[in-house]
Amino acid sequence: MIIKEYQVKRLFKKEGVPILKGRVAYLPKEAEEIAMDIGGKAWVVKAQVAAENRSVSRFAELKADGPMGICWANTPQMVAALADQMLGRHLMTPDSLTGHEVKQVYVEEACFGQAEYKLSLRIDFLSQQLVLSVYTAGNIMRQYEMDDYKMTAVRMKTIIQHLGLKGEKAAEMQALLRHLMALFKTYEAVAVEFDPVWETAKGLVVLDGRIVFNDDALFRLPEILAFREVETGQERQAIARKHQCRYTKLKGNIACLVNGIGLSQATVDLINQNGGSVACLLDMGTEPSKDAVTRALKLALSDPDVDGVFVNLFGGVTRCDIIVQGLLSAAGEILAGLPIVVRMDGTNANIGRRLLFESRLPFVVVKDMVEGVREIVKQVKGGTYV
Amino acid sequence: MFKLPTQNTPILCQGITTEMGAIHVERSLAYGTRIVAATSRDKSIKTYQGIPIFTSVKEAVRKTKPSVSVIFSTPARALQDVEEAIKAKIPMIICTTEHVPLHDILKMMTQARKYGVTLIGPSSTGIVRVEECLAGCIPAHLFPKGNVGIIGCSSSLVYEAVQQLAEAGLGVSACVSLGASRLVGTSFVPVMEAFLKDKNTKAVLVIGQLAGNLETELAEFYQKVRRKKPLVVYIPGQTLSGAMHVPLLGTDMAVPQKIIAEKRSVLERAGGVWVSVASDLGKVVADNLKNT
Repeated sequence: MIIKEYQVKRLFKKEGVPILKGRVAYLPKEAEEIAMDIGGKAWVVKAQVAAENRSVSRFAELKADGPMGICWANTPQMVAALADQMLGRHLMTPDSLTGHEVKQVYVEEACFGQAEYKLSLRIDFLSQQLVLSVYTAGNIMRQYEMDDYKMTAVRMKTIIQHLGLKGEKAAEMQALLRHLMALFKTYEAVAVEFDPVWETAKGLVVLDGRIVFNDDALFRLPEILAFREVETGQERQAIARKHQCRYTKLKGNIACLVNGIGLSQATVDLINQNGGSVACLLDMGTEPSKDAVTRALKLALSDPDVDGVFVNLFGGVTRCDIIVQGLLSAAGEILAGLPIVVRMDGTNANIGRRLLFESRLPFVVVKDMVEGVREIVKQVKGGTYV
Repeated sequence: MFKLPTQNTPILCQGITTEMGAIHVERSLAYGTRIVAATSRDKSIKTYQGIPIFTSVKEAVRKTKPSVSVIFSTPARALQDVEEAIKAKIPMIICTTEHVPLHDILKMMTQARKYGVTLIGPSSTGIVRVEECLAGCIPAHLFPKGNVGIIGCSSSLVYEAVQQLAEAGLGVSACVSLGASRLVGTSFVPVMEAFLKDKNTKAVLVIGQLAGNLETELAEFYQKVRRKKPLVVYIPGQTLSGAMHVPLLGTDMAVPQKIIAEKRSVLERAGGVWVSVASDLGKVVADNLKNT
């Protein structure tokens, strides 16, 4: 999970990281007042969405020459005008089809100085350990492997030497490195970044940054969990998440219900390789319960982009006959008329298939994965995307 | 060092009174597995089907000397349970718990290295030596006996592969699940070494994942192997691309195509076989076994 900038800054402030003066606003008038309150000659207005690349993304409702997600303002009135354009609109960042609704803007004092550094501390899944990357102005990057998970004095000294810093600057950098590690540990982060760090008259200042959280650790970080809000258009994801189901929205018109991440990805591959495209993928976990199956099927059928459903399940310890009971519990929705192709194998698959047949509901039962994929692609032909 | 368990391997089960623990110990016993001891936080239960139950791993190790521990735990307690097993120096620890926080996994991995024990998982479904022993929660009844060794990250896709092997008239010697977590205690290489030594294994099928570097590491190792056994690798998610798929990939990379192409070329240069279509798994393995 990633959170919005003003939330990240709240955590930075609490840790003592040097940041610029700024506050969050929900209304244009508020934004203007904040600008006057902060003072100075210029301000930056930033759309608050939990996504990357805000400064190069535009709004769905505004023309191509409209503002980007991060804008400069020379007067408090301009701050208000920009806030008015941003609030309630959708910022089209590259990770989203429909854009993210902007519910707040962050108004910050403009910064005069020079971009100098970027610091990034993250769990590197390639080397399976902690890696610190330090970028300098010329985009020169040095990496440090931190296999002991400690920001030791020796390590900080090495980094500072590499950067060629002395005296006060060295002390400031050392403090930043300490803050980086402290944030990483306190919030059990996957990654913490100070990006960019500017050299100003007041010393080193962190202009922006991000913390990537590990969803599996949030159960013991209630403070962070409280930041999670349901975005408009993301309601299905939120419902799925509550029930330990992984919901991914894609561009096509076939819904896929699968158990297990590997089988899910393989199913999407097969559909792509056979000329179809996936509207949404619901991974119910390796061993789904009966209820999980019912909920997933209802969610899939409630997606307006869906023209057909492909159920690809492999019963391991969870028996296929139990899975079928889950499918049948969504009978009301099934009768709504979308084609549902079912492929199931593994434990008690024969009993499962017989139950489906006896239900007299319009399931198309196939013998293997490829046949199922070809069948569903055929069934949804003439749909909106094929 | 990683060793494939056999029917004689003494196994400990940590967390026998958890819901999953009880189910899977029952299934493992029925499969003929030699479970010598179990642990539980519940002090009132002393034995289960003749297996002594202890309250501490240390005591269980002193009295029964297990060489493998299978752990059933919750995400919040997994670190504590794994650490207990590591400190008792059990040579191989299989952690079946899903959704363990990453920082806890980092701690487990460091500890395991320090004490020189093998950690499998977390989120491993375990190891099955077909018709000999079942350590974990693999649906072993679906695995016909044969001579293909399987190493997998994802579990349901492994079962799919086994089904395809069975349809091609093949079976499995042993299957090792490394876990679908982004950080895992054991990589493909040590398991591959064990399969190369195992006389019942004639070919190895690897179900990899987009994240991480494990497949490349395996290919580099395989290149140096002199007496090769056919190695077939499949990675799901080969057609995914772009930022949209990032949540699905469970990783922070946006260009899987490049990673896939790299992993494929390294593997093929090393003499391994790449599978592009998930439904061809059984067929490709069968073709490569024929050539040996």
